[in-house]
Amino acid sequence: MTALLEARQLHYTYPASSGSALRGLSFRVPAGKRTVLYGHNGSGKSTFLLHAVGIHRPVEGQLLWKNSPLSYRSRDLKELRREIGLVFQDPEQQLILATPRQDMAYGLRNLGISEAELNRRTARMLTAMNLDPIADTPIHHLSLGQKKQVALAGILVMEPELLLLDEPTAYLDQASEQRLLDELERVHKEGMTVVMATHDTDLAYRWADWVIVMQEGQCIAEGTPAEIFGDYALMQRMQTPVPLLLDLWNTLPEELRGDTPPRCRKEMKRLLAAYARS
Amino acid sequence: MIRQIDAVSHHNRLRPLPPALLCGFGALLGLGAYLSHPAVRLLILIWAAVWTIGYAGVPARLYMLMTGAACLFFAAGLPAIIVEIGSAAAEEKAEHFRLFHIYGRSIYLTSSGIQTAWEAFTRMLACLASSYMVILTVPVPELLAALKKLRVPSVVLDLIMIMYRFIFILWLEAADMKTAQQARGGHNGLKGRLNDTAMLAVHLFTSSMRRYHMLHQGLTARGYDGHIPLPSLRMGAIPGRYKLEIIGGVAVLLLLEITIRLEVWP
Repeated sequence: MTALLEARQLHYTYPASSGSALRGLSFRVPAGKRTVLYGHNGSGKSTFLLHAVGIHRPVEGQLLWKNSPLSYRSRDLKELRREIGLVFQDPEQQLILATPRQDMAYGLRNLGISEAELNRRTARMLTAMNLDPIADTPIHHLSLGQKKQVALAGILVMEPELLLLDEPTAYLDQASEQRLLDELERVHKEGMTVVMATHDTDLAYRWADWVIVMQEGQCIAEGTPAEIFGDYALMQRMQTPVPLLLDLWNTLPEELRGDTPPRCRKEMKRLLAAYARS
Repeated sequence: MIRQIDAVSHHNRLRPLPPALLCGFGALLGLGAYLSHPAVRLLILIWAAVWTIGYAGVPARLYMLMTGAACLFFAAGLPAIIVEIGSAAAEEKAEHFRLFHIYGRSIYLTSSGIQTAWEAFTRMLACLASSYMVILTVPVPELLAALKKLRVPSVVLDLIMIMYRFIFILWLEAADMKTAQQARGGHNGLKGRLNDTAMLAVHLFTSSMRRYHMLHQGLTARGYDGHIPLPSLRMGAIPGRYKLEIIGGVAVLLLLEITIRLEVWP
């Protein structure tokens, strides 16, 4: 497994806070995979993401980007933030200019990209994400789902190698969530490594290739979704319900189950249909 | 009203015109309103209103409301211009109009004060109409791009840009907090309203500090290096019909002003 980003014994405490947010956090983010950082609120997921783009600096430990320790010189950080894109949970946190078109161009202008190239990339991204109809609408006139799409587009247009998303589906309705996941699927197929921090068990189970479980600022387990969510002892320890599909699959008769549990509704339906036919 | 002004500026019939034209035309009218005589100013007022309400399709009610609000401020300052207090002897002058007499002093209007007030009123209306034409037809981001072109320091533009984004976020947050207070029985009676508004202001302050911190993180993650690069000013062809009207209209106003200055016009 080639690691793109690696955390080695990270420790971090917020100023004026009595407890540590990260307490010896160690794991590796595999290149080219869809990784989920799974954990409850306060487990240190967002803190880690802020470390990954160099906003926070660990008190102890080290972060490695492509096997090299992170450099905190401003020029290196600028380059790092071009290679690693972070989409925040609250889109208002990162949308700064007035319209989607202008905001998407913000990061590109920071990189000093020419206006012609900037316009070309912005237009292409607007079309790819079906944002053309709202391209010139003021951001404060958009819905939360649209703002999240725009925030994601503003990062994707920078063409990062690693995309980090902090609770990207929080507060979204199902249609907006599906649109977002479709977009992540598209960029992942184009070769981008995607990391999503979430506490949504069902989403983590159906979307991830690799799951990193965090608790109280530490990584307590990592593995494939089947390994992690199939570990009932771990789920119990975390006081987390088993993903719905996996739970349903486990209740099916042995002869109906097959070898691998279904990851999505479509696979479950296919399994049941096959059984009905037989 | 801020939200309505913002919405109108983004969705009006003059949006296809280059912002530089509207800003330049507005500035020209504003300059004319400042330097010309009352008759020319009134024509400027009418002309700017035709562009704003007629061509851009800005709701007349909003326009009148904005103008009315500005007139209230003018009315508040009016007594200082037209009312004078003097001894009984002073009121004898022909150009004084006594309002009332109190404790041996007269409170009266002067014709020169009324003349000054009229001058100020027409100038205010014409300047307002010129600036409303720009404010209501050009969205803030394009205004900033125009200011950037005029080499306004970038720190000023950054601050305006951030304020523009923040105003709506905080407004929404304040509205949500007020709804939450009302849902829990708040804003009941005058005392309750005062208490809850004070509480809301405190929360809004802490919330804006939190927002500031979050925004700083968001900007940093996107490569912010102390300066927000703004988009360039949108350029485009000016339709001949508008070009003709502006050139013709300015020529007529200039001619009228020259005529008045040379006292050809009574």
